[in-house]
Amino acid sequence: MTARLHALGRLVVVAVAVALMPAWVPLRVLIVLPVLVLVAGWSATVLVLGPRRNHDDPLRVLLPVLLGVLSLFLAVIMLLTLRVGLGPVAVPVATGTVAMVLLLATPWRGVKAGVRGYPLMGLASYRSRIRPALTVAAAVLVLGAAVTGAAAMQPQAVEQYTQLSIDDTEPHRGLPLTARSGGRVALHWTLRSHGYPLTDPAPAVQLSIGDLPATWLNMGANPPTASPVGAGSTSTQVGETGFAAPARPGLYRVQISVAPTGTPDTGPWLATIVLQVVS
Amino acid sequence: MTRAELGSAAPQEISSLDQYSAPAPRPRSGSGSWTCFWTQSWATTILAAAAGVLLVGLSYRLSVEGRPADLYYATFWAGMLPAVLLVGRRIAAREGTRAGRLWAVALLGAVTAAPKYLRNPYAPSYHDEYAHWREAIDVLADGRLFHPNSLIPIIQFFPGTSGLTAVVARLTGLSAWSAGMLVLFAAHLLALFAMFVAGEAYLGSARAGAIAALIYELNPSAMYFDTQFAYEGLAVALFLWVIALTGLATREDNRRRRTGLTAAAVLCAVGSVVTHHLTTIFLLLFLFCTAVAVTARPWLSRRAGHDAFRIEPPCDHSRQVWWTITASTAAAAAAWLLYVARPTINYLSPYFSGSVGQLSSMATDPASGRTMLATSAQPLWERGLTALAPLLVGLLCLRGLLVLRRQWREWNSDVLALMALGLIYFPSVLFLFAPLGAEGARRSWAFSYVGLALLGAYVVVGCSWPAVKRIPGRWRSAPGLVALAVVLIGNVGAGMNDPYRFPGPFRWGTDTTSTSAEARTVAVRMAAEVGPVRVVTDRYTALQLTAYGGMHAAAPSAGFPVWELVQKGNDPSSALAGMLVSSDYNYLVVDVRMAQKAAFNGDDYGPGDLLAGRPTPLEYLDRLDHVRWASRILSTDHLRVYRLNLPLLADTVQGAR
Repeated sequence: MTARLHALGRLVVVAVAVALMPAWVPLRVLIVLPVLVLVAGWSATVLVLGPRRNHDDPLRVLLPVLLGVLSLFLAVIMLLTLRVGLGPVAVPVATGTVAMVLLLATPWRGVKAGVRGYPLMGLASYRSRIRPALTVAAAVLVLGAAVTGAAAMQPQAVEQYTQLSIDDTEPHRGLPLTARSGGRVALHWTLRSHGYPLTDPAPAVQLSIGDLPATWLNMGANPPTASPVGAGSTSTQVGETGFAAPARPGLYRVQISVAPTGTPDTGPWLATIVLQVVS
Repeated sequence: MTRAELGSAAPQEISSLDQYSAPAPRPRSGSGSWTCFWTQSWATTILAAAAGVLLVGLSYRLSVEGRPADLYYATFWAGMLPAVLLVGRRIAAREGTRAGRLWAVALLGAVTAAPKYLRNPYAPSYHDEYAHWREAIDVLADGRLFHPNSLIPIIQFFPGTSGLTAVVARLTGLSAWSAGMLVLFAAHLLALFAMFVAGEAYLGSARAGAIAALIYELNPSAMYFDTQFAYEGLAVALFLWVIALTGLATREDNRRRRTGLTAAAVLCAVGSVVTHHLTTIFLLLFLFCTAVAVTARPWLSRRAGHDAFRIEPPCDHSRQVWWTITASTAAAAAAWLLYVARPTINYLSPYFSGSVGQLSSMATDPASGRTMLATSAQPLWERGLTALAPLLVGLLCLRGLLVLRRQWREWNSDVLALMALGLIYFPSVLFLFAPLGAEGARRSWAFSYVGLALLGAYVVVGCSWPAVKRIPGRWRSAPGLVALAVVLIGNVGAGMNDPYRFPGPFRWGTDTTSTSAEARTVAVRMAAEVGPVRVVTDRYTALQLTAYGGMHAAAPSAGFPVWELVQKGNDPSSALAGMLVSSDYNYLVVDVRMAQKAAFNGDDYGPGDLLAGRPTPLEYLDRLDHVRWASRILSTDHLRVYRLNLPLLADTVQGAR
């Protein structure tokens, strides 16, 4: 094994270790992924093309990328064969293993055939590599800045809307709420605003039972609270509305509308459930 | 031009359109090295590319703000045209090094990938993107491949894209979407490089290879369709590499190297097989036809008394390589089809048989076909160029065929076969008029353009143009650049419709602009409260419920007419009620915007829609608040989520009978 093989092997081990840690994403994108892909790809290229014959052969530059991408497929196949899921530990280990196996196979085509340099490393002299490298880096930066600027130009529209949901479990299971005739029924609901805050501590609640307006007995609503960041809504208000069940047994449709004042849209925000009244 | 000049086994630089014997320009330092590509004008090319990207961003902003289509289309092309033309000029220049051309091809790839990336940089927007993004998320969630997918059920059996995306996401820590973007960007660049290598291998010139890559990038699918987060983009890149590596292997004298290249081609073919069904079919078609051509030509020539072997590679390994790769691909495809992806045949057969049937019925009844660009916002000038582009490509091919008619004996069979396969493009354009065939026709262009690119590169590099020679020196490239501009604009116009190409304000009835944060939060809320349930909804809301909530959306069809739930003023049929009960579709999600306007695409529930071309009457939707078998458990300003009581529904409709 040559010193270069040792160095590349160590690079793969470090890349796998960094991939296993919760490292900074740009570091993993710019270092870990290229190392694992290109070491595997370069090794596969040596196996395919053998010793370097032509400094200007574009395959020496292009094949490592292509075969590196294909080596990721090999890692997936390896995990499938071993019946291991594509988990956060298994993937870096499998990718690193594929890269190492290919790297260790390179002497079969490279060293034995008398390869002294390695593709990507011996294309030109060190001095003559600097200028094009800087040029490419500058081009990437300029284009990257342009793409970032173009993306930043896009207006970010904030939609404002309100969401009303019923919290009782029966309706979610497709079952009617059950109550005794004339008994008290409590309906639990949650109001969520998106793109604007709820400010009304006591939103207007309207009720109808069997398509006829009904009067609620009690209405309790917690003050609106700001939702935690990432919850997807701006503020949340939880409430309960109590009403008397009809006296006659049977199935009734109960419709509830909740309308906070000061909302940018008009609603009404409705929920309808089925109430089964038993004697 | 003869094969010895343009198609020799060892690629050589051609420095002039018509003076092939002229020596290649001497690079400034290190002859043939990768380093001597930089000249002053590179700065101009890169800055033009950057300015082009910024103008594309501006055009998208104008589109979102609802400005006139003429304005944002003109802004888009004011950015893209100079960027592509300057890179194209560098690619096609008579002078230049192979490295310089390769960098120019890379720059072309970056410039042409930008419009799609900027179209929706942070989340899926195209129909297929929702499906692939969900698939990748599911793979990342539990590490298993082959998850059922209700948007495109067949992608369950082709896990190449989702598997690769999951691996990249795991290695980098990127989100599934960003990892997918990275994979597709790499695939886009790899596809162009493959075309470069293929052009150089088959035509024997780096300039021809670079021009082939440029022409390939003009294909209507290249800028938007093949750069979306879906399996085609990755599979097409692998397809092109199979063609390129096979060409290299057949021209390689060293046995070990040839074996290596053949193995690499087989590996790419297997990658394509596990990634995309249609690409596999086209790959097999291309490989088989070319292998047959390579095998049959010497035999036919011998029978005709010609000395055919002078035009084939010295050994007969050409046939061996083509057949090895064809047989390996066929074996891999057959094994995958038999043991993993058996439903593929049922998935694809309606498209093949249906589109041919529709074309033949159009011959007798023209009204049964599609109206091209019917509801498009495309400006008239772009529509005109869209119609002109195939004609221009046809003329280019005609010119090539006329020249080839005199020289075909000088060329290898594989190049001729690939060029002939490129001509599939012209009959495929006819299928655009058949509703079922249009999708297949669009998808075929990524493959047929391989042949067109080779033929086009041959025409540009190898044919003499006396009329061009009469043009003063500095303007000599003008006709080529004008043709490039026409085909670029026309083909991009032929690829995707306005809502796919440009972002815009909310518009009901498109895959891309019917999306809303409102629907996304409903999906997320439902997923949190009831999990990945089965749901009946329209085709636009289904995209977001499936992608963001993991729901299984019903696929409406004549046999499963779920539209009856919302498109009729009475209860659904007992047959549908029975099917809903047995298949457990417990939820119904309705977007009331379908009552405000007819869908832009013409329907809300697919081809069998009862109210195609019309908005749904609001009373049909409000009726759901008054039936006993549905409870509205969640509502927003525009969306209503109903929990269905399916046994009660079945009882109700049976009682009514």
